[in-house]
Order: sequence, then C-alpha cells, then structure tokens
Amino acid sequence: MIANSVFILATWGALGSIFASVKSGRMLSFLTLALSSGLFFFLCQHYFSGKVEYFSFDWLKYMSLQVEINLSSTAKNYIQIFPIYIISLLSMFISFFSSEEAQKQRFCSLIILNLCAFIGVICATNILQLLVCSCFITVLGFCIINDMDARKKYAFYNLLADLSLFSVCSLVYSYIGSLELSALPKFAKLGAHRDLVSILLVIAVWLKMGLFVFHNQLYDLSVLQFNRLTYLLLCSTPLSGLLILQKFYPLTQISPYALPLLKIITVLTICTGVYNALLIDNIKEKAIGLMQILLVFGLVEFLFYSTDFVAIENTLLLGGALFGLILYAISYSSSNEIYISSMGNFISGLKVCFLFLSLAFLAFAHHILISYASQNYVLTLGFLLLLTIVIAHIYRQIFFGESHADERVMALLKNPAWYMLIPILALIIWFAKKEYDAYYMELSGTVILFITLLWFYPLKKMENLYQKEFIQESDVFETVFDFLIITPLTILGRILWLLVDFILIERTIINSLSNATNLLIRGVSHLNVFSAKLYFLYILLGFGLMALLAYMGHK
Amino acid sequence: MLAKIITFSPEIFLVLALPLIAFVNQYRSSKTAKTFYSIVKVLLIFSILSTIIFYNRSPLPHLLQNDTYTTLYKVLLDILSLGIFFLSCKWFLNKNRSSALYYALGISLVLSLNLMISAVDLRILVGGYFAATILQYFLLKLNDDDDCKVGEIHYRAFSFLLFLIMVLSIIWFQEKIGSAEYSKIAAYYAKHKIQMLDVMAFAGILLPILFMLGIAPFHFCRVELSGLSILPVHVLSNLIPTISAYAVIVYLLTEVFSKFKEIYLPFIEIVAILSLLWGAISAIKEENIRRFFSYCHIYSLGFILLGILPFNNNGITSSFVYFTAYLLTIWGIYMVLFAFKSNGEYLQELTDISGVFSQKPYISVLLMVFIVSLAGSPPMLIFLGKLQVMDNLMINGAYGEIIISMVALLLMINAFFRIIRIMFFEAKVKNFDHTERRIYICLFINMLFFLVGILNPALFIEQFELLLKPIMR
Amino acid sequence: MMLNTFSILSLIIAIPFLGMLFTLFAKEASDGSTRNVFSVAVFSVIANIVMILRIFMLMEVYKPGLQLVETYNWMQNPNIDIVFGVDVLSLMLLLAIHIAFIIGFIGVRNNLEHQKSLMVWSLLFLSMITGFFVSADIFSFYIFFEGMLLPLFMLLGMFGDVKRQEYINRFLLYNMVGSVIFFVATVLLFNYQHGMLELQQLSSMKLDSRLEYFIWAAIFISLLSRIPIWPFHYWIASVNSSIRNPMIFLISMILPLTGIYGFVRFLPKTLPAILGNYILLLQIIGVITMLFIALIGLINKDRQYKIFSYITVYYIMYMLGILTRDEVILLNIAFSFFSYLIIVASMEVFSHYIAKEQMQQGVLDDGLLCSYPKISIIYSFMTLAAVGLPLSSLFLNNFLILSDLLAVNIKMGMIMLLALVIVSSALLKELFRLRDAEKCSISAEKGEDISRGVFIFMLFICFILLMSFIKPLWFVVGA
Repeated sequence: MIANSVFILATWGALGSIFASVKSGRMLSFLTLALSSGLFFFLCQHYFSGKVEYFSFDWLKYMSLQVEINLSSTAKNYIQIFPIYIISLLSMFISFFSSEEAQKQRFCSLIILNLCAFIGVICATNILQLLVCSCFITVLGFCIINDMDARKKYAFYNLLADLSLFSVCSLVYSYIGSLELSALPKFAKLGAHRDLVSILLVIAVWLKMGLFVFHNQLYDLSVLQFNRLTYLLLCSTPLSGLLILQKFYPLTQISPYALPLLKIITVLTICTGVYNALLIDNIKEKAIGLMQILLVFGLVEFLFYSTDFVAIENTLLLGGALFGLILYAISYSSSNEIYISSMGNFISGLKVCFLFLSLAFLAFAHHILISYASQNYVLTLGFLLLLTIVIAHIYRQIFFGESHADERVMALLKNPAWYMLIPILALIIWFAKKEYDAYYMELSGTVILFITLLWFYPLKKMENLYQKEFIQESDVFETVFDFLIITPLTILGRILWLLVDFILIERTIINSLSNATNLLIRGVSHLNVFSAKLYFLYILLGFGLMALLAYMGHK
Repeated sequence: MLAKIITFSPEIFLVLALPLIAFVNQYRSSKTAKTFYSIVKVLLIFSILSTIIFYNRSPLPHLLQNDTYTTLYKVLLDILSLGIFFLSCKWFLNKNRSSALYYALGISLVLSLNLMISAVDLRILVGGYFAATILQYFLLKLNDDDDCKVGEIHYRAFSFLLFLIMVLSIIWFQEKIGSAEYSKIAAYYAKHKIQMLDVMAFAGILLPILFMLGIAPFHFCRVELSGLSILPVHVLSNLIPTISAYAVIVYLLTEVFSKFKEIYLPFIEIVAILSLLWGAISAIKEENIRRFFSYCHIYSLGFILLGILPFNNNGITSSFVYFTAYLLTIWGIYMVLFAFKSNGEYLQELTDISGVFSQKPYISVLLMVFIVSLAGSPPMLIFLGKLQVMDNLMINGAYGEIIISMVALLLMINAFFRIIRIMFFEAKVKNFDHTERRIYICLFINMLFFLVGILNPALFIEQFELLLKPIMR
Repeated sequence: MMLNTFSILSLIIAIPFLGMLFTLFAKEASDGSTRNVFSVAVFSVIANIVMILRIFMLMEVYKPGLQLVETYNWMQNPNIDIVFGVDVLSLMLLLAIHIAFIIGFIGVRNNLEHQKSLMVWSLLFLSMITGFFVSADIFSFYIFFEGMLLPLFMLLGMFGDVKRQEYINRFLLYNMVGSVIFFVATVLLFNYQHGMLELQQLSSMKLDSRLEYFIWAAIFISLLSRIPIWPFHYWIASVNSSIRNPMIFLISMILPLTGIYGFVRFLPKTLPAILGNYILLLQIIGVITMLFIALIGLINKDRQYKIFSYITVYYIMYMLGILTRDEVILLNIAFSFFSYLIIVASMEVFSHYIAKEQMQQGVLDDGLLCSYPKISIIYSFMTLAAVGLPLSSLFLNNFLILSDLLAVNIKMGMIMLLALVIVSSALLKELFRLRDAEKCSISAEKGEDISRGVFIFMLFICFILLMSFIKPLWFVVGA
C-alpha cells in the first residue's frame, strides 16, 4: 500500500511541479489535496486492518553491489509516516484556502514529493535509500524555500550535512561491505576511524537539524510565508536530521565523544530557542524559536531517556503545527503584522480567539504531561515551565497591555480564518483526547502559572530589547563563521595563488625556461650573422673537428 | 656503341633541352615561360622514363654507374624539378620576365646533379659539383637586386674555395692510390691504415657535399641567399641539390669511405645534433618565411643524419623514409609560398601573411597540414620517418641523442606554432591575389601522396627498401 | 589490410571526420547565416550518438575487457597494427562527450563569425577523441593522443578569446612535452616488444627494471601533463579561465579526460612494485592540488575559474579512483563521468550565455538569472546536480568511488571530501549570487531567455541525468 501510494504521489507530484501554472493552480492543488487525502484514508484503512505488505524493488544490481528500495507497509512504518502525512495535508489544506500562497499547485506538488522522500527515509532498510531520500528532502526543501536569501545558509549547511553523511556512509560501506542498516552495529567490530565516523554523523545531524551554531539557517526562513515556514520547520531537514539520528543511532555509540557532544549542543540549542522566542520581535522568528524548543525537547527525550521515537515525532510535529498555526492565526488577524512590538491589546477585538488559543496551549500542556511525565517527571515539568513562560510572554504582549499597533490594524482586527481554526480545533481535540487521569496538579499549576504570567507580566522589561538593533538584526554566528572559516580560507587561497601559482610557477619556472630559451636564441643569432669571416671559421671548424676526431681515433 | 649512346639517353634528353631553349629563344617570336616549360617538361619526362628503363645500365662503368639506388634518387630529383619548373612558369608569366635562362640553367643543374648521383669516380663527382655550384651562382644572378650582391659574392667565394679543397683532396687520393674511382679507394683503405692527411682529404670531399646539403655549420650561404634569390631559384636551389648531396653522402660513406667510420660517425653525429639545435633555435625568431624554412631544412636534415647513424640497413631505410617524407612536405610548403602573393609581389615576411586564413582558408589549412607534418605529428608522413629514426636510435642505445632530438623538436614545434598563429589568429594585413589553378593542382597531387602515405605507408616503405638494396649490407 | 571492413568502431571515428568534411564544404547562406553549417555539424554528432547506442546494443555491457575488437595492419615492417576496441567505460565517455558536444553546439549556435571553422575544428577534435577512446593499441593511442592537440590549438587560438596568446603557446607546448615524452615511451615499448603492442598486453609485459622505471615515469608524466594537477594546472587554468567561448571551454576541459583515460588503459591490474612510489607521490600531489584549486576557486570571483576548479577537483578524484585499479570503481567512474561531463557542459554553456547577456545589457551579473527564468531552472538544476545531490549518476557513483578511496587512505579521502565541499560551496555561492533578486538590475522583459526549443532540449538533458541517477545504463535494453 505504501509503495503504491508513493508511486502515485511521486508521479502526481513530479507532473504537478513540472506543469504547475498559476492559472489552473487552485484547481490542481485541490485535486492534489483530494488525491493525497484519499490515499491517506486508504493508508489508514490498511493500517487498521493490521495487514503487512513487504515491498522491495531491485534498484541496482552491480557485480559487488545490490541495492533494494524498500517500501514495506508495516505498522512501524505507518505510525511514523502518519504525523508527517497529516502535517503535509494540513499545509496543503491551508495553502489551498490561503490567498497568500500564489503558487498553490507547485507548493502542493513539492509537499507530496517531500512526503514521498520522507516515506523513503522511514522505510529505508539500507544506507543508500536513506541517503538518497535525505538528499531529496534537502533538494525539495530548497525548492519549497521560495526566497533566495533564505536559501543561502540552508543550502550551504545542508550541503555540508549531506556530504558529512555521505562520508559516514562511504566509510561504513567500505569497512562492513554492506549497505544494510541492520549491519551498522558490525561497524563497531569491523570498522576503523570510529571517532571520525561518529563525529561526522553528529555533524550531519547537527547541521540538518539547525542546532546551536547552525541555527541561523532556520531563522533565515522567517522571510517566508507562514504556512511554508511552518511546513519547512516541521517536515524538512530538521526532521530528516532526527530520523537519520534514529536510523544511525548505533554509530553514535562507537565513540565516547559523539553523544556528549550532541548533548551539549542540545542544551545550548534550547537556550537559543528560548532567547529567540523571548527577545526577538519578529513573530515568525518566535515561531522558529518555539519549534526549536520542541525539537530539542524531542532530542533530549530521545538521547537522554531513549523515549519511543514515534511518540517524540508525534509531539514534535503536531505540537509544532499547533504553535505554528497559533502564531499564524495571530498574524493573520492583525492584517499580517509580524512584529510583536507593533501589537498589543488585541484582546479588545479577539476575545474568543484568545480563549481558543489559550485552550490550545493547555491542550498541548496536557498532552505533554500525560505522554512524558511518567517517564521523566522533572524534564517534562521543566519543559512545560519553559513553554508556559514563553507562550504567556508572547500572548501577553499580543493580547494585553498598551497597543502599539496603528489604527488601521486595530480597526481591521478579525478572528482567524476558519481554515486555520478548524485544524487548531482538530489538534486541540487530538491533544486533549487522552483521558484526564493524572497530573491534574501539574496541569492546574500550569494554568495558574500561565494566568499569573499573563497578569503580572514579569518579563515586561524585555520589551525594550525589541528596539535594540544589535539583538534584532545581528547574526553573530555568521560573523563568527566569516571570521573563523571563510576569511582564513580566503586568505589561504590568496596566499597559495600568489605564492604557488604566480611566484613559483609564473615567475620562477616559466620565466627561467623563457629566459633560457631567449639566451639560446640570442646566442645562436650571433652565429647567424652573414659574415665571410664567420663562414670561413665554420669551414675551419669542420676541418678542425675532423682532425680532432682523427687524432683521438689514432690515440 | 649505339647501346652505350642509348643508355646515355637520360642525360642526352637533358642536354638536348639547352639547344632547343636557345633555338626557341633566338628564333621564335612568341616565347613565353610556357614555351620553355613545355620543352623542359617533355624532355624531363623522357629523361625520367629513360632513367627508369635503363635503371641498371651504365654507359661508362668506370665513371658513372646506375642501379636502383641512383635511379631512385634521380627519379625523385627529376620529378621534383618538373614540379618546380611547372610552378616557376607562372611566376615568370606573372612577372613578365624571360625564363629562357632560368630553364636552361635549371635543366643544366638537374643534369649536373644527376651526374653527381651516378658518379663512381671522384673526378666526375667534383665535376658535377663544380657545375652545380656555377649553375646555382648564375641562377642567383637572375635576381637583379643590389641586396643580393653580397650574398652572391659569399656564395661564389666559398663554393669556389670548397671546390678547390675538393680538387686538392682528389689530387691527394689520385696521387696516393693512383685512381679516383670509388671502388679503388674503398679497396685501398680496406688494406691500408688511414693517415691524418687521408682524413683531411676525406674531409675535403665530405665538407663541400655537406655544404651542398646545407647542414649546420656549413649552411651559411643557403640561409643567406634564401631570402635574396627569386622564388623559383630559391625553391630549385634548396630542394634539388639536397637530394643529390644526400644520395652522394650516403653512398660515399657506406661504399667508399666505410673504413673512415670511426671518424665520420662522431663527426656526423656532432653536425647532426648541431643542425637540430641550430635549426630549431634559429627558426623561433626568424621573420622571413623562406629563411624560416631554410632553418627548418637544417633541423630536418639534422634529424635525418642522426637517424642514419651508424649507417646500417635500418638507419639507411629509416632516414630515407624521413627524407622522402620531408621532401614531399617541404615541396608542398614551397607550393604554398607560390600562392602567397599580394599585388603581384610574392611575400617573404611572416608578418605579411598575418590572417591569411580569413582570405585563403584552404591554402592556409594545407600549409598547416604541411607544417604539422614537418613537426612529425602523427599520422602524417614524417611521423613514420620520425618513428623509424627514433626506433633506430633506440636500437643503438643513443638515449642522449634521443633527448636532444626531442628538445629540438619541442623548440621547432614552438616555431611552427608561431607561423600557424600568425596565419590563423592574427588580423589580416594584406589582400592576397587570386591563387592560380596550377597551384591547387600541385597541392592536390601532393595531398594525394600524403593520404596514400598515411593510409598505406607500407606501399612506400617496402618499395624503398627494395630500391635501396645496392647500399645495404 | 583492414580485417573488418566497415566496422562499427572505425565508423564512429569516420562519421565526425566525414561530418567535418561535409561541414567544410557546406555553403553558408548569402546573408551570413550559418544554419546550414550548424545543421550538418549537429547531424554528424547525432548520427554518431545513434551509432554509439547501437554499439551498446551489440556488446555485453558488464563483460570485462575490450569488445568488438577491430584490427587494421598499418605497416608490416616495422609491424604496426592499429587495433580498436571498446568497453563500457570508453563508450560511456564517448556518449557523454557527444552529448556535451551537442550542448556546446547549442551554446554557439548564434555565433556568426567563423562558425564554419568552429564546427570543422570541433568535429575534427571529436573524431580524434573518438579514435582515442576506441584505440586499443599503443600506436593508435599515441596517434590520437597527439592528433587532438592540433584542433584544440586551432580552436583555442581562433575562438578562445584568450587574452594573452602566449598562454596558448605555453599550453600547447607543454602538452607537446607530454606528447613527446609519450612518444619516446611508445617507441621504447615498441622497440622492446619488437613490434606492435596492444594496450591489454602491457599488464603482462616483463620489462627490465631500469627500462620499466623510465617507461612508467614517461607514461605518468605525459598523462599527467593533460590533467590539471600541480604544477600542470597553471597552464590549463591560465588558458581555460580566460576562454569565452563555451564550445572551446568544453573541448579544452575534455582534454584532461584523455590523461585520466590513459591511466585506465595503461595501468596494469596488479600494479608493479615500481609504481608504488609514483602512486603515493601522485596521491599526495593530487589531494594537495584538489584543496589548492578548490580554495582558489572559492576566492576567485571569475565564474569560469569556479567551474574550472570544480572540474579539476573532480578530475583528480577520478584519477585517484582509477589508481586503485578496482574494476568496480572503474565502472562507477564511467557512470559518474557520464553525468559529470554533461553537467559541466551545460553549466559552461549557460554561464557563457549569462556572461554574454550581462555584457549586452551592460549590468553586473548579480541576480541576472531572475530575468532569465528558463536558464535559471536549468542552471540551478545543473548546479545542484554538480554539487552532488541525487539528480544524476554523480551522486551514487561518487558515493561508491569515495567509499573505496576512503578505505584506501582515510586522510586522502577526507582531504578530498573537504575539497569537494569547498568547490561545491563555491558553485552554490555563485548560483545564489546569480539568483539574488535584490541585486537584479534588469527587468525580466529586457532579458532574452533561451528559446523554447532549447529549453525543452535542456529539460530532456535533465531527464537523461535523472535517469542516469536511477539506472546508469537505462538506455541499454537488458543491462
């Protein structure tokens, strides 16, 4: 079933992206959405029927290399695919109704192609399928980002990540001689350069997920339209990074450095997320900060406590989608305003909306508590506390206090569109569906804290930081990269060019040869003078030489 | 007696040309270059045919002998002369000058050189040499320019000096051995030890022939005059004597003075290397086209002489292959020189032919093909010669010579590329005149030989081996 | 004499040559239009592509060794046989070169000046390089090895727009040095063997140690002189980075392939002990050059140099791959090369188009692609494929090549990877610069994009690349 769906979706997606046009875009995007939804329905049906279908296709059959494409319809694959599928459907749904999306069909086609690539990653049982699909995700992400500036860091970092992964796979294959993911544990016995492999893997994940230091690639996406941004944050390279980590997890065990390094980065990333969610004025960057917090939470769960990956994926994707939609809805209601500093007192026009969004947050808090608190109580509470502070801080600035919005925005304040509210409602129901049987104290505490924070607004002074250009505009890490990597490389390149190419080759080797030839030419030109004396000398020389040879012969 | 006269027919046909030219020049009213060319053409063809027919007949066996070796060179010489006369005809027509003297001197030159090839006596050789130098001198005088005078004086003085040296050498051999016949000289030195004066006398014979061949450092007059003589004379005096001199040298060194091997082998090696380098280095900066190809001639002969060492069968065949391919190529180049004409003037300076490709693409491409062939690039004809020469050097373990020849080759290639660059890449500076059909005909025939040589070189090489048998061991 | 008259391998050498002759005599229109000349040239190349595809059908693609061998006795004394034969590697390379030529022709289709000469010399070069790739004996190998230099020299000189003519001279001269050295090695082998020598026999030849040392040194130097490896890169770079004609750049960039291919044909399967030192030295020089060129490519603002540095790094990687003498690697190199050549050709053609448009519009090229949407699509695709994303056979086959190289020498492999990252970054950076909408200084209406026909053709090329990613020999039935 998965194989059939992938085939249909990939074909439709490829055709749709090639023949995408603005005129028929709306209709085709609807068809895409309908088709994808239909397939999703059948997939669900198949999943619930409990049937298992194995599918593998011989891709390459060389003398020493056989690669199969695996797209087996197993329960494990299904439950990993579903959240991604849902987010994809959600993005297509919103883009279909949203007037902001100009290239609906192209976007939808790219989404379903990206979905196919993710299915490929999830179903992969060999390194190559995983690598190829991961690279496809990079390419499709590149296509979905419809802004050149936003593409820059994304492309460079993911290129580096893919090449790191490429190296990891190359090294692993060269030592274990197998492409099967199940054979990865063998590398611990057969392989060499274990630290290198492990660190390269961490680098790949690090770059792909946009963790601390490389997080600015995600922030550059803030110029994109909200729906695209949310989709990219949830269903693009950060998620593929996480999936890669899951698939290659045995390789992180072979070096004593890999996991500690990843853990340090994780902690630093959460700080970055919180920093951006609290201090940055741009609502989209706040959304990115929130996503980062979620992502890191998932990573921490996975790395520190080996929590079930499917649960993490669900929380991450659906929670991310929820917060993305919430912030999108706020921006939509305020005539697409994206600066928090230009908002405030929206409660006056959006009372129901505020309640609805607060409910959404609480539903998510409920989900977190139910899903994780039993395993890692402190971590879950800590995370919830952090999330409550951030969300309350954002809501407070938007809905309460003095309004900084101009009159036009205030006058045009409207409730979010229905196509935003329906998915939010669906997500609220999904998060809240678990029976409320425990942690009521913690949930009540969260509610109280949320209200208290909204009421007292303890982080009010942070508002002033919105005016600080240094915080809002500067990209410290880009400067650091420039200073530590780009500039030294550039200088080195210049020095090599000047020293080796110009001075050594041009000035030394070529000039010497040229001078030697010129010397010869000058020397011979002296002998080429048309002079009788010289001619006579040549004849004498001939005789002399003959005599000399005769003399030597006699001797 | 009649049989002897008949076997003399190749020479008789050539001699017959002189009174006929004189007669026509004196009595016929319309006497264009075409008329004289027709006379020369008919007689030369007859001469060639009779040379082939009587390839092993010797009218005066103690003075002149014919065999496949001499026939090969004589036919080669005659055919090339015919080609040169054919092209020269148009030159004289264009210049509206009398060609009687040119053809008379030219055919005499062919005769004298033929005699040199067939000679088996040093006296005939020196006679032929003397006649050839005198005739060349008069041919040079066809150019009325004052610039030519100094060159003519140089040529006169040094060819006469070398002639005298040759005569003295012959007198020495005559006095010592009692004969100047090749066979007797060879027989004498097979039994007797070589003295220092013998070597000097041998040098006295060898050096003038090397002078005629135009090898470094005895190339001086050839280079000096190549820029001064008129084009038909330049082509004639560059190509024809070379064939004769080469045939004579190979014959003398293998058949007559083979006992002098210890002396002449290093000598030839030194002059060959000198020629290779001298020719290649001088060509790099040369601005006169004719002189350029004269240097190229020196370089090529250096290669040929290097390949012939140590005068074994392999060396003789490989050098001959190179030599023939070289002649065919340089003949093609001279044909192209006849086509480089602007406002009736035949161009001499390299800068004059700048951008010639834009106006004369086919001619330029053909010249390039010849140049590339001279560079020994595969699969051109000279490549085969180069291959055999290198193989021969390798067999002899002459690795030093191989390196030197390769360095010289690179220098020469540099020079060749310069010409190609000037012709093809630079802007045109002159308007070129229409190219006559006869030049295209000659070039077409030449290219046919080229193609056959490239596609089936065995056809030539196997025949050459058979024909060169008289001097093979 | 020719044993297999009208044999197919001889035919694929003859077709471009005949095409050259037809082009030479094709008449240009009175208005200066060169459509006739262009059509004849393109037709010749397409005809040869059809023949090459036919050869694929005739041979067993995965069978090792040369197939469809043809022998032609050139000379009997000395005995020289001209032998032709092909394997998957040579055929893949030939097919890629031919496709690259069509792309190159498209790039110069609007050139009116000396179009005929351009086509004639290009076809002659194609004929020579085809001969080179099918040659199976040392003589034909040498003949074609040197034979292709003349058309290259003519093309460079006449159309290369190389600012300093002396560069061309140097370039050719040092190529000739390689050629001359190769000639000496050929004659040495010929002399040692007392007759003709098939390339396959080289592996089994027992040479005495001094001779072996010299012969291998000569072969290495001559082949390396074609590859932009230090210090030879300087001449190649100085010429190539200044060429402003896509066809000529393409041809000059195909030249290093001959050096690489030489290693495939010459190196025995089991490397003699004497080669150990050479290969180690070569590996060291190779990776240093890769890094060095990649760095210069990164800092150099000239797009041409960036493409050159990319090409160089890949060439050296392939060379180092070949030196491992692994049959599987060779197959992967063949498949990888296929895409690589097509990508490079396309990038160069469009890069040139952009440069020409930039000059005509009199603007900077920053953001220029925004005004040329069709080119932008193709150029972006090619750049992404070039940097190693799964859009062509480069991806998978490079993976396998690199995995072997990493296994051979991890340090070498890592430096290589670093160089790959740097050149890829340089290409991406360039792409972003070209697509930077903010800096675009001309409107979309002003820019003259490629025609619909060319766009469709290029989409077809992209399709070929994508198919090569899925299955490198997709066009061979039953492969």
